[in-house]
Amino acid sequence: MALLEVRNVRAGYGAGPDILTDISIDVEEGRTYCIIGPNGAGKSTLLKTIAGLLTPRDGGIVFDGQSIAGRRPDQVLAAGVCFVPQDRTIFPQMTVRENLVMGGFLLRDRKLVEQRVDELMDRFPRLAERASQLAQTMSGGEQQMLVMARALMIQPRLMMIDEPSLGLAPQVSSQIFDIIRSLTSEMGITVLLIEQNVKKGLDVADWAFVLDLGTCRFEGSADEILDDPRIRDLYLGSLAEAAKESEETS
Amino acid sequence: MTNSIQVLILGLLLGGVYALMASGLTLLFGVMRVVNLAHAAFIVLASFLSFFLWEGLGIDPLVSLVITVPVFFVFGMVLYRLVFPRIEGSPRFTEMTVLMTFGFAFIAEGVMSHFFTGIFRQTKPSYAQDAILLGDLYVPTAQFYAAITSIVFLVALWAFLKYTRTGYGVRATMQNRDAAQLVGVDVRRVSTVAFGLGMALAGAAGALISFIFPFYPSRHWQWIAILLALVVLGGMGSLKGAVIGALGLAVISSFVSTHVGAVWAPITFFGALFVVLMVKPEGLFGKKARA
Amino acid sequence: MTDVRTVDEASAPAATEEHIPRPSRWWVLGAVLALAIALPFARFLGSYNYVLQLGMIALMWIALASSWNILGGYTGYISLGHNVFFAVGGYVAGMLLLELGWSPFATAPLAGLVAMALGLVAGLITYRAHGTSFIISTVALLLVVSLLMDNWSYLGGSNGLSLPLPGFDPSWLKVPFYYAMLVAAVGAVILGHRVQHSKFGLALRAIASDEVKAEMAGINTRLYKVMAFSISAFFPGVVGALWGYNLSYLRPVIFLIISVAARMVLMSIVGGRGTVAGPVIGAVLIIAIDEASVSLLGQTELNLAVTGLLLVVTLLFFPLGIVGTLRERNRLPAWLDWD
Repeated sequence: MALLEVRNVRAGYGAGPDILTDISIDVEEGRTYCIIGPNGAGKSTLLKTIAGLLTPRDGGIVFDGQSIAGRRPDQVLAAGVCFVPQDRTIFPQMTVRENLVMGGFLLRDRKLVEQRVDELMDRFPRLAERASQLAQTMSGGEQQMLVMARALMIQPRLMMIDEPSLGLAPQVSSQIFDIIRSLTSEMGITVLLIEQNVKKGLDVADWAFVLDLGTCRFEGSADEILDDPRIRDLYLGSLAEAAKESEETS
Repeated sequence: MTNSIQVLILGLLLGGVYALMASGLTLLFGVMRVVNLAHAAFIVLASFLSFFLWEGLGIDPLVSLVITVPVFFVFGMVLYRLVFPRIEGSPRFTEMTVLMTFGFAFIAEGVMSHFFTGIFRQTKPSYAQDAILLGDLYVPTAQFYAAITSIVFLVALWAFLKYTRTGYGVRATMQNRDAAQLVGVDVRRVSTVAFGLGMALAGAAGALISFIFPFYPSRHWQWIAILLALVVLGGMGSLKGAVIGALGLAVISSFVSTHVGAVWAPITFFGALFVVLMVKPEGLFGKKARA
Repeated sequence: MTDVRTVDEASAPAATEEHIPRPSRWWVLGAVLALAIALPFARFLGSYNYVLQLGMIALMWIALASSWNILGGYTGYISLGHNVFFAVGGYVAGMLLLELGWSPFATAPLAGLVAMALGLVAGLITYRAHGTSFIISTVALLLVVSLLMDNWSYLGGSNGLSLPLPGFDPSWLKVPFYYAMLVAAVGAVILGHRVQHSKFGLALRAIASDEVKAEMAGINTRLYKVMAFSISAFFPGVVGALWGYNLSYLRPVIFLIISVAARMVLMSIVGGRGTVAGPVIGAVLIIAIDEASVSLLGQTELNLAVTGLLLVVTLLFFPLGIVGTLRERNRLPAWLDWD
């Protein structure tokens, strides 16, 4: 049985049209997945729906044998699924340390929270240096690091990350990708990643889902997908350009 | 010189009460982006509750706090649950709340005027006319008690926000609602509690006001205008800003009151509001991105 | 509000602005106007003066609500202090009458212009404020003006001033007021219609739908906002002049009590803000409800609570108002579609 099963999900915002028309994916434990697809394919919407920020209009979402479709975000989080959105959602006027403490909001045991904060400080020395600084004073890369570290506070089993490298300098973004790699390899966390920079995304991932118009068009191992001619055929526009860009930047 | 110190003292005492009045308003805005135009109307309602407890049962207004505060806390939570989830998704939510609470203010004022009439009321506990003398200076006892009680409530609010788990949830929601949801804060529950707290602060302020100012149903418009000015001035949603603004402007308004005339004192608040809007529209302690 | 044009359309207004006049609408409007003009001739009515007075009040509120709608409806900037301009009109015309003996019927347009000038100043003070800050600043404006009026002895302070009655035959006293209000109401509705169908109105609605995008599309949002503020102050000034003269006394509380502002807001919202017909329907409806509640409940303060309750109920259940809700459901009868 897969860790996460998304079955025939349909979802959209407010009274608007369906962004996800009919999507089904399976995520196995301990692997890294990358979601690719053109703008408007529904990549972010999929993650928001899994995270409970959006209620599916139809279909089922099962995590570790328990249905999480339509649950509140805090309930989904408690089940072990965390979400790192693309807009660096820090608490600007709290210190770095307080931000991490907030990550353990669901853990009622204060000692455990303190212990995990210390562990994360060891793992991310950059954050330890800035522990008592206000989060809003940090650079984009450091904020991204903080949000990912904060998500680790509850020791999730599945971590969903939306475009971690957006707006970051190449050097900084490769540091972030190193962290993402270590999530699976060192901590055994399953990762579901969205990345515009297709080459980079497929580079860290084992498996890829290709989304278009709110559904999963096809999937395959990262190496296959990278060479799959259908990618260039189907998404000649934005995706091919992104791939070219990624070649230039890497 | 003595005279100026005297005016300063009176201003600070007044500022403490204004800070308490504004804190509930700013809390509601900070957590839920709700601008509660009925905040002062609810304060006056609490003043009436204290007044009738005093008149009917002889309960001292300071003692009546143990009734007004919990009553308003529950009232706030119920009001929030009844009304706000319905309009949560609307595109101009904050403006919607302004109009909605504008309606609440009229409902509250109309009901109070009808049942309690428009005559001036004031609770008159034994200390209402006393003053503490410090050499040439005097400190009116009632104002002193009101200011001290306000400080106690503000410190309690601060401690709640700083040290309790729910308080962390409230602060997190104020700073970044999305991030709060992502770390597992149930923002709906936090909003309900925060609304209750905001109203509890109104309940506290009402009891204090009942013995320092004469009040009548339509008086809330003067107060709400001052409180809104303080909230904008401090940077919408900033508790620190509202408290500093309240103390500073209350002192200035005391001087205006002494040297220019008591009727002109409110101009201080509005004048400061217009200056801030022209120079730094996001408020003294506000951040640009907030609307 | 349902048909707020996007910014892209704003740059090419001609294509979307073709309106085919529907005969049924003109017939209905013509009939209503003819009735309004004929009303003063119906002297055989039992309660002639009452009917005329009520008609005049309704017309006054149509002018006030339609003016508020230019700023609060089209531009999306809610003013809770718009009765300031109503007061300014009343006092300007009243002082000209007392000092120079000029009739308010002649000076009403001038009073409107003075109100516009004050609207310009208020707009310049608040043009950097958005959304909530703007609303709050209009509340502050109202209280500042109230404070000034209450303490300005030249204007009689809070006790106000008495004005001489016009020298007409008492049995015809109401008629000129009625017609003057009718002219103002029709003027305000036409102004609203003109604004909505102009490039200026498109810019305002672009601001209402998304100010940042409007600015990026090259609209000078600050200039337009200040202009909207000023224009929306004109007719409140005009009807203020007429109303003060009709009452034959001026007192700050008559004009500046906040429930006057609340009514303008309520009428526009109940009728449908951002539409031409909305404020008119809203004004007539609210005046009717008022009369009904006064005759049922008597002159009690509960009428204030009814005003508040109507506002809350409308916002909760029909935020688009009567005209807006009907249009959204495609049920708007042609004779109510004045846009």
